[in-house]
Formats: sequence, C-alpha cells, structure tokens
Amino acid sequence: MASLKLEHIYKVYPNGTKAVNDFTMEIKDKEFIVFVGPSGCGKSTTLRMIAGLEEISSGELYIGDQIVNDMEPKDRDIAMVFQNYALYPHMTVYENMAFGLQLRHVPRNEIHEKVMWAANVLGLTEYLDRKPKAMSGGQRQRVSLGRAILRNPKVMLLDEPLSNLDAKLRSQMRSEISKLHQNLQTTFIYVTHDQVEAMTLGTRVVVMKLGRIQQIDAPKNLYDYPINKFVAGFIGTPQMNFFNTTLKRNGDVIDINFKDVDAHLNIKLEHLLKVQKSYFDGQRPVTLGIRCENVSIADKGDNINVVPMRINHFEELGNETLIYGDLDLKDSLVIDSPTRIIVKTTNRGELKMGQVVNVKFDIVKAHFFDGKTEMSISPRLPKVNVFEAKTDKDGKLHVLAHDVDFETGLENYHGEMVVPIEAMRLDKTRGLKAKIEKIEEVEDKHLAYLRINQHLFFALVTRNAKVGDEVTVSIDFDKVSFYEGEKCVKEPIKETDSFSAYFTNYETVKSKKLSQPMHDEEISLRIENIRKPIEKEIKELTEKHDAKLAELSNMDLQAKYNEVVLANKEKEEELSAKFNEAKEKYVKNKAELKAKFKEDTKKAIREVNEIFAKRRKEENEDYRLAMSLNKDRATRIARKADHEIFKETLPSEKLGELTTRTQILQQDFDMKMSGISSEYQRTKYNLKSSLKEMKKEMDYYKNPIAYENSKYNKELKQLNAKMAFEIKQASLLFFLTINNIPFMLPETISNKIIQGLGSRVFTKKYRVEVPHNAYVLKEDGKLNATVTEIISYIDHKYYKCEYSDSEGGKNYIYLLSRKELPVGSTVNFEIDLNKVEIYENSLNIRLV
Amino acid sequence: MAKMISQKKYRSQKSIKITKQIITYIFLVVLSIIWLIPFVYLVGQSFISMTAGPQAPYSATLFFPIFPNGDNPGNATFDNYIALFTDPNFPFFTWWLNTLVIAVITSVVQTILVLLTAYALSRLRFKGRKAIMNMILIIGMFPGFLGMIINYFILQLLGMSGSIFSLILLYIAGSAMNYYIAKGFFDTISKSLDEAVLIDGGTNNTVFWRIILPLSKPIIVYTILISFTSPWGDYMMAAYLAQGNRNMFNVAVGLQQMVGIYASEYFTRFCAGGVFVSIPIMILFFVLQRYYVEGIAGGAVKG
Repeated sequence: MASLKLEHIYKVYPNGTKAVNDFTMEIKDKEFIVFVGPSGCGKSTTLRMIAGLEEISSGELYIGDQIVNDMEPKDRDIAMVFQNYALYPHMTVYENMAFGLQLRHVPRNEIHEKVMWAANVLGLTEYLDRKPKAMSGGQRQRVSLGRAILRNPKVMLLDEPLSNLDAKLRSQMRSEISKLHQNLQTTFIYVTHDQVEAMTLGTRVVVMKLGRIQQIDAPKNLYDYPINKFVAGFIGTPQMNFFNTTLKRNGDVIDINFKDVDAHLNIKLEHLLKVQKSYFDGQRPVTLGIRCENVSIADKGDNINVVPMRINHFEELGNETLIYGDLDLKDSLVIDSPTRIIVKTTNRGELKMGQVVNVKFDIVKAHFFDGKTEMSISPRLPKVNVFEAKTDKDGKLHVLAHDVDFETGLENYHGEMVVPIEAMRLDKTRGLKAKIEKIEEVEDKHLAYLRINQHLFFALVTRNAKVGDEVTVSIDFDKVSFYEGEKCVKEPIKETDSFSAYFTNYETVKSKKLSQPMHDEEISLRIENIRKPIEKEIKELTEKHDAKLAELSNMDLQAKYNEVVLANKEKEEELSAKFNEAKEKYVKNKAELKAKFKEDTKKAIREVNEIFAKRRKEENEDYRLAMSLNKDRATRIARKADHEIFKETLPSEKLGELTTRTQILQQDFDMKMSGISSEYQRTKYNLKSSLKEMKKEMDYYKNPIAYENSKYNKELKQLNAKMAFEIKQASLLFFLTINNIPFMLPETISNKIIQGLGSRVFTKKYRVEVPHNAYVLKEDGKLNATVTEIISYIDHKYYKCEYSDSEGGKNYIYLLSRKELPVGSTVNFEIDLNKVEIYENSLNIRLV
Repeated sequence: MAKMISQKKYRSQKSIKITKQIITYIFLVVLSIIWLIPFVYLVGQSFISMTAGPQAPYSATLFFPIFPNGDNPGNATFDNYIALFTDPNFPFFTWWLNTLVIAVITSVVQTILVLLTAYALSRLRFKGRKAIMNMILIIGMFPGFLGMIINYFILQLLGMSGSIFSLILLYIAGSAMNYYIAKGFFDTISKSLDEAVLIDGGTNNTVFWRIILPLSKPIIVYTILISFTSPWGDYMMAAYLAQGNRNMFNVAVGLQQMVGIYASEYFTRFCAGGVFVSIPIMILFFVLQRYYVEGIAGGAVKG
C-alpha cells in the first residue's frame, strides 16, 4: 500500500555493462505494473533492486516517500514471489507461510489467524500440513503467494511466477492473481517475458529492451499506439508484419511503395497528419507495420489496397486460421524474408499451399516507423511541427503566409523550419491567429490540431480549450532549427551548457586555498545551531533529574521499600496461583483433547470398518444369489468380473475413506491444540511480564538514587553522542570544482552523488549540464566570461560568452539575462547548483 | 531376408545384455570377496584362544578358525577381549578412551567448522574467495606429515606436547580444508531460498541455521562420520606426538605396538582390539543412518 518512485536507476556491473540504464518511473498506489521484455532486458534486475536483493549502482528508489537504497530487504516491507517458488522444503505449508511472521516475532495466535486467512483466500486449508514436495506446481505457487500476502506488504513483487507452470494452470493462476490484486488493494509489480500475461494483468505495462525502457503505457495503448518497431513487434501474437516501404505524396493521397516487391498501396493524407512532410519524398525508408488481423483475403473484384501473396503454409487454431505467405511470388526458401506476411482469417475456404491470392490491407490500421531510428513517425504526441519558411534579404522571416517579427540572420533563405511542440506557445498576446480544429486527449495532455489558412499543425492546449476557439500562436525561436535541404543552417541554442567538474571535500579546498572566502565561519555557525537546542535539552534533563533527587531525599526510602516489598509479595502469590491455575487448565485441556482425539479416531476406524464389512457382506450375498439364480453364461461372467473388481477396489476405497476421516479429525485436533497452547502461552507471557514489572519496581526502590543516577547518565551520554555526531556531520562540506573554483554543494545534491558512487566520488570526473537560466550574475561572481555575441529573440536575449577553462581551452556559454550587456564586456557570474544536472563521465550515469 | 536379420539382431542383443550382466556381477562379487576377507579374518582370529591348539595362534591357513576345521577343535573364546582390558602391559582401554575423546571433540568442532566454511564459500561473495579456494586446494595436495616437525615444535612452544589435546588441536586446525563436498551440496540448494528468507525478515544466520542445515542432513552426517573415523586410523601424527609415552597413544599406535614387537604372541589380541575399535563407529553410523536417508529424501528443492 504505497507508491514507488524510481529515479535514474542504473545497474552497472564491474565489467561496465549496464543491465539497467536510466530507469525512471513513478508507480502509483494500488497499481498493477508489469515489466515485460525479452530475456536479458534488465526487468528482473530492476525488480530485484526494488526488493533489495541487488545493489543499486546509481539513482534513487523511493517506497512511499522514503529513500530505500540502503535499506535491507526485510525492512522495506515488501514481499516477493519467485519463479521456482522458493518454498522451504523441510517445512509444511503452514510453517512456510508462518516463517516470515515468526522471524518478526508476531504473537502466535495472530500468526495462526493470518495463516488461516491466507489459506482460506487461496484455497489451501486442506493442504496446511503437507510439505511442498507433495504438492503440484500450481499449489506450490499458491503457497508462495500466500506467504507473500499474509504479511500485508506495501509492495508485492512477482518474478515470473507462472513460467514454471503448464499452459492451462497458467491461465487459471493468472486470473487468480488478478483477483488477488483486486481484493488486496496493494501495489503489484510483476515481471514476465510472456506478453499475454503482461497484457491481461497490468494496469500499466513497461516494455524494456537492453536495460532501457521502451514504452510505459496501458496494455491497450501499447497495442494500438506502439512507440517504436520493437514494441510493435513484441506486443501481439503472431508478430506484426513489417515491410520496407517509401512514402510519396500525390495530392491528398500518399502512395506507399514496397521496396522488396513491386506492390503499391495508398492512404489518404488525413490519416497521416502527424507525419512530417519530409517522409513523403519517396526516398526515406519507412517501415510499414500491420497486424495480421488487419490483413484479409480480398474478395473478387476488390482492387483497392490489394497485394498478391503466395501461400506458404497454414496454422489451424480451431476458430481461426493463420495463413503464412510471402509477397515475393517467386518460390524462395528464405525463412526470414522481408516480405513475409501472416494473415488471420476465420474462413480458410478452398485455399491451398502455393496458391497466389490477393490480400487486402486495412491501411488505416497500419503503423509507420522510421526505417533507421525505428521510432514511430506518427506518434500520438508529435514531437515537432515542420513549417516551410522563407526570409528576404534582410533576414526577415516569412512563415505560414505571414511575416514574423524575427531576425533570423539568414539571407534569402528558403527551407524548412522545425519547431518542437513545446516551443509552440499559446499563452502570449502577440502572434498569429489560428483556429482549433480538433482536440485529442493523450495520456494527461490535450493535443490541438490548429489551422492557419491551409496549414495544419499541432500544439498542446489546456483543458479548457474547445474546438472552434481562436487562439494566438507564437513560437519560441530559440528552440527552432532551420533546414535548407538536408543541411541545418541555423541550430537552436542547446538547452544546457556543459562544464566538467570534480568532487572535493572541504579539507582539499582548504589545503589548496581555492576558496575565497573560507567556510569556517559557516561551519561554526552550523555547529552553534546544532549545539544550542541540544544543550538546552541537556539542561532540562539535568533540572528534572535534580528535582527528582530532591524529591527522593525527602522520602523515607526504607519504609517505602518495605511497603513495596510487602505489596509485591502478596501480588506475587496471587500471580503464581493464577499461573498454576492456567497451567493446570492447560494440562487438563490438553489431556482431554488428546483423549477425545484418540477416541474419535478409534470410533472413526470402527465405523469405517463396520461400513465396509457391511458392504462386503451385502455384495457377497448378492453375488451368491445372482450366481445361483443366473444360468446364462454371459451374465455370469459379467457378474463375476464385477465381483472381482469390487474385491480389488474395496481395500483402497476403505483406506481412502479412513484417511479422509482421520485427516479431518487430525486437523480439528491440531487447530484446537494450537488454540489451547497459544492461549496458555499468552497467559504465561502476561503473568511473566507483570512479574518482571514488579521486580523492576522492587529493584527501583532498593536504591532509587543510584537508579536515577544511572538513568540520567545514560540519557546524558546519548544526547552528547547525538550532538557529537551531528556536529561531525555539519562540518562535512562538499564542493563541486568547476574550472578550479569550488562551489559548495547543497546537502541534498552531495548526498545524491555520494549515494550513487560511494567512496569513488573523489576520483571521478563529472559533467555538469547547466540550463541557461541557472546563471546568476553577481558582482563578486567567481566565474567570469566575455560577451562575444548577443542573440536576441522576440522577448528575451541570450549573451554568447567566451571563457577559458582550467586547461586553457576556449568554451562558450549562453547566458539568459534581462540585463543589458554590451559585446566585449566581462561578466561575473555563479551557477545555481540547484538547477543543474550532474553526470558521471566514464559510465555516463546521471546522478542528479 | 530382412525379417530374419532383424530377428537375429534382436536375439543377440538380449544375450549380449545378459552376458554383460553376468560378467559384471562376477567381477563385482570377486572384488567384494577380496574386500571382505580381511574383515572376516580379523573377526575370526579375534575369537581364537591363544592356548587353543597345538599350533601357534598365528596361522595363515586358518581362515575361519572359529569353526571346527581339521586339527582345530573350534572352540571360540572371549579370552582375547578380556585380556585386552585386563593386561597391565598394554593399557588398551586408556588408548581406546584417548581416541574416543579425540574423535568426539574433533568430529563436533570439525563439523561445525566445515559447514561454516562451506556455507561461506558457497553463499557469500567476498574479495579473495576464489584465491582462498585455490590456496586450500594447493595446500591440500601436500601430504600432511610434511609439517609434522614444525607442528611438534609449535605445540611444544604452546606447552601442549605430550597431551592428547595437541592432537585434537592439530586435527581441528586443518579441518576447514575439507569443505569441498559440503560446498558442493550447498551449491545445489536454490539461492532463491536465501532470498526468500532475507525478504521474510531473516539474516544470513537464519538462512544457515534454519534453512541450509535442516536441508543438509546427509552432508552433516557424512561430515560427522568422516571426522569421527579419521582419528581412529591416524598413526603417524599420533605416534610422533606421543613420543613413546604410552598413556598418550591412540588405538592405532597402541595396537601397532602389540604386533610390532610381539607379533606371534599377541596377534589374536590385536584382532580383538581391531574389532572393538569399530564398535563406536558402527554405533554412530546406526544412530545417524536415519537422518542420512531422511535428509536425502527431504533435500529435494525443486521439481
């Protein structure tokens, strides 16, 4: 019952391989998250890092709102179900389930209650006394689930729990797990390589490949809107069909030309609005993906979006048939041909192997992926808008049939302008007027289709925007890139500037005399801040202690002691009487129960014996009668065979009956027995603890002054130790040395870096990515640079500044400032470390 | 034709199988007879009275001397056993007691050490783990008596020479080197059990005492038996450390004394001693046998 947060989690092995690479995700309370991916994609490693069985190389893991990176598995309040069940083979089912609670010293009757509850939920009540060996795979996995749920953990982790089961059991257990999740209302994290499990169980599914997250989405969205070719191919059986194609625009229609065969399809432009126009040049490789249910055998006379296919073989699934074919009509034996196609049909009809038939593509359902990057070119949220743009000889920009008030610095430019979607602004008063044509809700964002004249483009709008509204569109030109053909003629300003840096502590800084001013004063201030409240506490404690001593010195201690001893003696007698009574009762009940159990068992055996003796007698008589009456040979033989079977099966039937009866008795006995004994244990414990308290009281009054003194000294020692520790912590300062100048790190950031790298922090080199607004111009700023260029945009200015780094190389930064700074002037500045991102260089790990 | 060939082939295969089995059994039976003869002979000789017949008690031809056979009237006697414990010249009971004390202490300590070592090397990943394993392997290749003289001096420095505890210390000191078999067994126990315990709220201690040990009963029994048996047969160290001090002998050294000097006279008594020595080992085995079988059956982790 907790949310989880994984921030930039890495798992790096000593040989440098990254099993998990920058895993960032937030898991809400009560979600059912499934990690899915091919083997070796890091899904199990991630789960084991959440469980605490594997160390986290870098990054932060929160359960609830607590960082648990360093916490032992047992303290994380999680439960895990393993692929091979991991049941303790020498314990019964009951003991297996109770083991975890026993280790946590839960009272015995509570354990019993919980085990019975879990066994009831999972239908294991009959098997509680069995050992795992005597159970089937499904039952074992149920025990393993039971062991997990009865602790009522914050998070349930399941590591491929069903992959050791056979297909039928698997689907049954799947629905049971799903039901369990609904009943328990706990966060579930489930690892599997089986996409059917992923799709059916998860509220959200994480698709992983080679340690990286590919896509996180609801199962339906993964199926309908795969973000890249990998996800498209991984989700759905049989696999999606992929073809190498190119796209060519032809008026309002896009022609799709197959590369490997001579085949053509077409699709209306309105279905590919989100695709960048540059894909429609007939050159760029595009992968067409289409699922087998969206391809069908064409009817006669149908010739729109139809392609001939040679049938290779069939796969009968009962209610439907998969037809494996090839668009390449020549008889080739290549297995993994790029023109392979799978068609799903419910009616196989008269089709034969080797036959050539026409298949119809339901092209609206097709997916398109970039041939090189394999990313979808028609994502749900388009990343960029591309506009045709022109400039005149002064560099004035003309775009969307409007003149825009922006100096590009480009003369007589005619090309394409790429605008990231987040650079489309609707919140400014100046700009072009556009009309909202359509609004689409994607995840928690609202995507608007905007139109100016005949140009259609996209922007994110707020929840309140409505279709038909007129909005003002402006563009953040600092994020725009200008292309002329393939060449980028004007790049956007990078989002961050890079600095290289080292991590140092205060001692180093002091010894190198790098820092002006020194931080000694600050440290002493911090220490003072810590010292004051603790000293106050100590003073209070001492006052209280003195008061107590004074109170004691006024008392007649001996008399008080005698009084207490007398009172306690009476009480002790009372307690021991109670104890004896409880013990007697326990022994008596136990003996009674045992006797009853023995008697019951005897009775059951007797009854069973009687029943079966009676049955045998009846059968024997019946048989004799039948034999004497029947003279027909066939009937006689049949009756004899029946009789033989009866004789053969009777003993085992009897045994079965006996076992069931005795088992019921045994279970009843065990339960009652453990009830009695736990009641006795409880009373014993209670009595003992009250006895202990009495003794404590007596000890106290024996020499109260010494007791008070030792108590006072102990508390004083604790406080002093606490103060010493905190002072030590406070005097630890860490710095990030950029350009040989140390910057003191805020505690949260230095903690994160140390968390990630441990003792290696001082030997590593770091890259600091500074966003442009993180520079603080200051008269006494420790870094300085010279302004070389002013880049102005509509409502803000960047100052391109040059500085030389510690090795003498020249570097540039872009300052975003409202101040007027002339070219050639020197600026002093500092970096606001709270806004930067810090990377470790050699492994390329993001730390902050 | 084809049918005939196939029939013929079938028949010959069966006969080959039978022939193979017969040969194997004959071979095994011969081997086991050769192996058993000394035991039977030992037991047989131990019941011969030294004054039984006209011939000397030590006779190579007398294979089953307790049965009537030619000249031998075949009266079995317990004289040898009685003499073992009554003859002041050879304090056999002291030797036996010495060895028993050594064996009991050694087996208890050694079992604990071996299991702990095996657990550490099987389950924990620490720096130098591989190196330690290799080192133990290489050191184990040298015969133990190479360090005998050094060991003696060290024990003398410790003031322990001339006491059976020096032997115990010596046996125990190198005991962790026998971790191989236990480690091999621990390796077969699924690691996810450990992980399950860690998540259930246990520590490495819990894993060892409450999961690994109950599952490793056969290996524990094996370790106890091996470490209990070895002191009974050790001659070299025991003889060297005793330095002729008769009160410090173990049975191997003591019995050797009997046959070494007075072979013809004391041979039957030597045999009786040999039989008596095997008693504690047998008792231990029968006591532990139950766990041995139970452990094997209960050790199934997977499946």
